[in-house]
Amino acid sequence: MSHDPARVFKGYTLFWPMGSHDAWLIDMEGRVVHRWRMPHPAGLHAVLLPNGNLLGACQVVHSSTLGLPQWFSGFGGLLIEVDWEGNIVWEHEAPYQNHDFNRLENGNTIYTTWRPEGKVPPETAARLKGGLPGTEFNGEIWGDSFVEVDPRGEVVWEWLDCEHLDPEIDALGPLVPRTQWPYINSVYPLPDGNVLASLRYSCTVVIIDRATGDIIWRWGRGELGNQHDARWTDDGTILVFDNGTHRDEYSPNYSRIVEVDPATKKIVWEYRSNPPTEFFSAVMGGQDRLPNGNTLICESLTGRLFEVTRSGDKVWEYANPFYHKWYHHGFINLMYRAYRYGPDFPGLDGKDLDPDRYKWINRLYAKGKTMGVSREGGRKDG
Amino acid sequence: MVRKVKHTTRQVGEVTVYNHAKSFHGFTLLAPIGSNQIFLIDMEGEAVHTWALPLPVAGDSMFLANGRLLYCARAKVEPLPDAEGAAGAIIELDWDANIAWRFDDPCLHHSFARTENGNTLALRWMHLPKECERLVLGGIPPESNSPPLWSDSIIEVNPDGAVVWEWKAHEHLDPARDTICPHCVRTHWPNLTSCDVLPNGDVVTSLHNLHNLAIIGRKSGDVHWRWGLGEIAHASAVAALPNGHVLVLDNGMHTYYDPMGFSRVLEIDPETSAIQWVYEDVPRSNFYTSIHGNGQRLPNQNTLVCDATEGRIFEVTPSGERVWEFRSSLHMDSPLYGLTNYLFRAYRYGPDHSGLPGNIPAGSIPAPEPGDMAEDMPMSDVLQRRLESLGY
Repeated sequence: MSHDPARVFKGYTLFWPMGSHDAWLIDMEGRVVHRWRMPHPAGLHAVLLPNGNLLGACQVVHSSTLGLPQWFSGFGGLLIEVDWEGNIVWEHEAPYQNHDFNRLENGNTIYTTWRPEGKVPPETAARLKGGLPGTEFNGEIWGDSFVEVDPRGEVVWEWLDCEHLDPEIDALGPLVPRTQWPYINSVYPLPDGNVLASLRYSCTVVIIDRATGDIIWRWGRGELGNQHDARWTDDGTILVFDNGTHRDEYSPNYSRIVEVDPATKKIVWEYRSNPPTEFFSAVMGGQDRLPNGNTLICESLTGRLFEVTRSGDKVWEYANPFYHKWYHHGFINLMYRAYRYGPDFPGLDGKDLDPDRYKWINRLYAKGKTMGVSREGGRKDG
Repeated sequence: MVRKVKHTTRQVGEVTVYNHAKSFHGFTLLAPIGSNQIFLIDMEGEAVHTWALPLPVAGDSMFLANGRLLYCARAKVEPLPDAEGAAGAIIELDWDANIAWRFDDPCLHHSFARTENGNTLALRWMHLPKECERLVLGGIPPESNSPPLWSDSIIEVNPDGAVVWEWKAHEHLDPARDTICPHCVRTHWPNLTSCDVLPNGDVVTSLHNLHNLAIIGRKSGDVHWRWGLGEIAHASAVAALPNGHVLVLDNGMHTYYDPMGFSRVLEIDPETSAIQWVYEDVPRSNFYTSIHGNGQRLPNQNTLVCDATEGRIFEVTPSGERVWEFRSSLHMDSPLYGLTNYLFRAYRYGPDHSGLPGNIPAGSIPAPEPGDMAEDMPMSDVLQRRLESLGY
């Protein structure tokens, strides 16, 4: 295994550990160069905007506080935008918001949410195939929806899944509870205005027509196992974190990143480790395609970030040193996603990125954190 | 006075946790899948005895009370060469790795149990009669040209190699109730992966593809007890305890509800089906072996756990504290798994185990030549220090 600073996409990596109030920006050597102190813990991640602000979801609710069964998870509840110093510049409360959100180019924000009024109608629920019989929540199935809000918090677009999904084609997997359908865990606005989403309990990725709300593309059934983070690339392909649980096969459990060509529905690139079990996150997880073609992978449950080339070589690896108490997981260095920003990213323009500002933190947490990458940046074979 | 014993040790991995006061001291059987050697390691992770094998490790292995090693070997496997756990032979080796007994059957797989009378229970695949096949529910429907569905039997083989008892799964399971996991291709029903004999003589086994355990009446063959569906997922190893309870490693793949990727070890009282004890790690995902692995209850009530796909063996106290941990550094290239340090299962044997040289009752195996014992007897540093502390 070689770690090669010459082949990485140099930049700064953003992650927000679960259970933590601190979102961190680190350099390629694992040193903290910036910290945002947030008013609430992560719920579940944050992105850096081109304007230099941080847009994130805070965890202010939980299934127990909402009176929901434990299968409802991944709550945030509060979308928040803070400036470089951590001052709140925008807030939007959405008590059932969960998993994912994205800022659109027009300044609006789209997010995934459950809604008490958005339950699957009984006639659709009766036709919905799959799931464990009798596991509905108080006899009902909750639907997922997207909501788009403008900067003033006004709802400008809504999409309720059960009005558009097919209860047979988009059936639940056989072993999941019938509490939610289809458990959407990512939403990504496409360049043409349509929306890409991951339907976890249906093991399917879909594209939704913005104008009609119809499903115009679907893929994944029989290939994916409770996947996360469907994202569009600049090449016009779709990247998916295929967790691998409930995949239709019996083999040692492994995760993989798959890149699909939407035109042909063929997998055009895949990363899995060798042996495959070395890379596995049962839940969560994400990937970021970098400008040089590399892929930054967040293996959430193990708290590990790593970067692979097109040919699957691992060129950078980082173990999150920040542990926090997070529900039944106990003390864990879990993170939902991570993002890499190049030094020319507009949001970093003019920002002080000197790791010496955090030298005491780095003294404790940055020593040898990137595995195999030496301080001098020379190549080292491990 | 200390008698110096010549012994050679070999580094086969690393002990990463060792709480001397709380662990059950003994020798741990280390059997990497695909390996041509099986080792007994001491508490410090050094190999104190090595068996060179005539055929590689394919499944379970145990150190017997008679001082011999019994293991599932990768021999000629005709019908299902690529299936998990395919073995083809069970081989018994004496301390010096001479073949003392061997039973060949191309359908043997996964595991076995040595009974008190010296017979061996073994798991074998068999074709499911055609008329039963369409009755079996569940699994991913084959698209076309469905391959024949395999079933299992448990056979009891005597030392002469004669089959003296056989239990055929399809004669006793209920195809409408005992259904195949919906995420598995319809290849095996039920795919047994372990068997053990309870104190009352009944047999406990894991119905791997059905997410269930079963207890089989030894005389009638009836399934007295089924447990696990909805609670465990693809559990691969179950062992009988002296109190009649069973200890199961619940792998946790294709779990009901929301699969979080973690394994557990559970002790179940079959009388009440109540869970008596559970071990899971904190965070839970730190212990996950999606396939293989096992739990063994030790005499001091600690539990030895084999985290198979991590190449890790660890020991926990009844309260779940990890007091010993070993990580194997032996990597094998397997056509099924690639280059891995996977283990199958692990067992520990205390210093009083009758199979250890010097502990074997006279007459049970041929006595070694005078002098050989002292020269060849492997002894760990721990055991040696213990002898020294006792004034030897």
